Amino acid sequence: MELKMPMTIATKQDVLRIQREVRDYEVTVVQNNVRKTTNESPLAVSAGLRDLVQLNQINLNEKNVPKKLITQLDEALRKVILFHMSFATEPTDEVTQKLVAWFRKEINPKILLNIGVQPTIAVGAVLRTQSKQYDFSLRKHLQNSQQDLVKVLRGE
Amino acid sequence: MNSYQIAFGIGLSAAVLVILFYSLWPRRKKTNSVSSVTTPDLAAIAERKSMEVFNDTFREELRNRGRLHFEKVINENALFLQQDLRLTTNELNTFMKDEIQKVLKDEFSKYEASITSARDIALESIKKTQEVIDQQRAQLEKQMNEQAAEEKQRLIDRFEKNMADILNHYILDAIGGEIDLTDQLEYIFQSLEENKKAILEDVKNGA
Repeated sequence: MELKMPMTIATKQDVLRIQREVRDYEVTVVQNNVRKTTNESPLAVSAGLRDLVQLNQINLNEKNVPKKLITQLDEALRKVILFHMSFATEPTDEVTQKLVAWFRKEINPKILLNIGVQPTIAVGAVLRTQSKQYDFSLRKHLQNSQQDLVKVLRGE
Repeated sequence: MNSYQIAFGIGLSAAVLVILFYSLWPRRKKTNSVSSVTTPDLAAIAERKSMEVFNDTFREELRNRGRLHFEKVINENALFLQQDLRLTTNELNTFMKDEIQKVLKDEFSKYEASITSARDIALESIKKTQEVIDQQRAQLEKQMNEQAAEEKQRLIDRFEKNMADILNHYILDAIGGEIDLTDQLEYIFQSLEENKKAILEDVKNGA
């Protein structure tokens, strides 16, 4: 069964971070069992991990589940479709999640984003897929409108 | 009239006067023996009478007349000579004047022709120089205009070619610190929608 990625896990870095968090969670659980520590309150986890386990109905406290989740995340990373998007500034999580939501809904549910910053873009974004690049920046827009701009400058 | 001419006139008058006296002076006629025998008295009488006629008074009168005539001739000749001299002087003056005028006129004509020729040459040289300068100026002006037009066109072409980058640069400078991706999402989603088909195709081919 393939993992379903929540919108809070939008990038490859998010997946890698969740993997580290799951490992830490597993270590913490093991340590608690060794110490016989009874902790009634659940361990604090990130929103991404929380959404992941909720979406896939996973109980991390069960034995071997964290290992299995890490393996599944590795598997997901191998199958994921990675798009690279560059912006003029670092996008917020909200913007990233909206974009990922659109990609997973309209293009493919396995899509993850790799976010980059390129100040010369100024306005818009540049998308690089597996084999193509789509320039949605203002520069490209101006280049496409160059003939119209020249006509305006010449007063035609 | 010069002094030689005057002396010549005086000498000529004196010669005429001597000849006149010589012709008028009483001479003793030669008589043969027969006539002297026959008419000895007549000859003497005639001689005596002639001596009476040509006495000293008469001679003096003739001398005076000759002197007066000589003076008259001398005066007339002197007058003629003076007139001739004046006429000759006038003619000579006129001749000299004409000659000098002619020579001066010729010289002035030559000088004027030379000056005119030199002036024409100078004017021609100046004209040619002016023409060359005008040609060079026109050529230079044409070259400068062409270069200016080329430079202008080059700048325009470069501006039009890099217009997108230039505008992007100015926009980035103007709003670089106020970029908000949230406001751009609509534009980005619109672009994604426009390229959705190509992206799907790309993913399909990549998969």
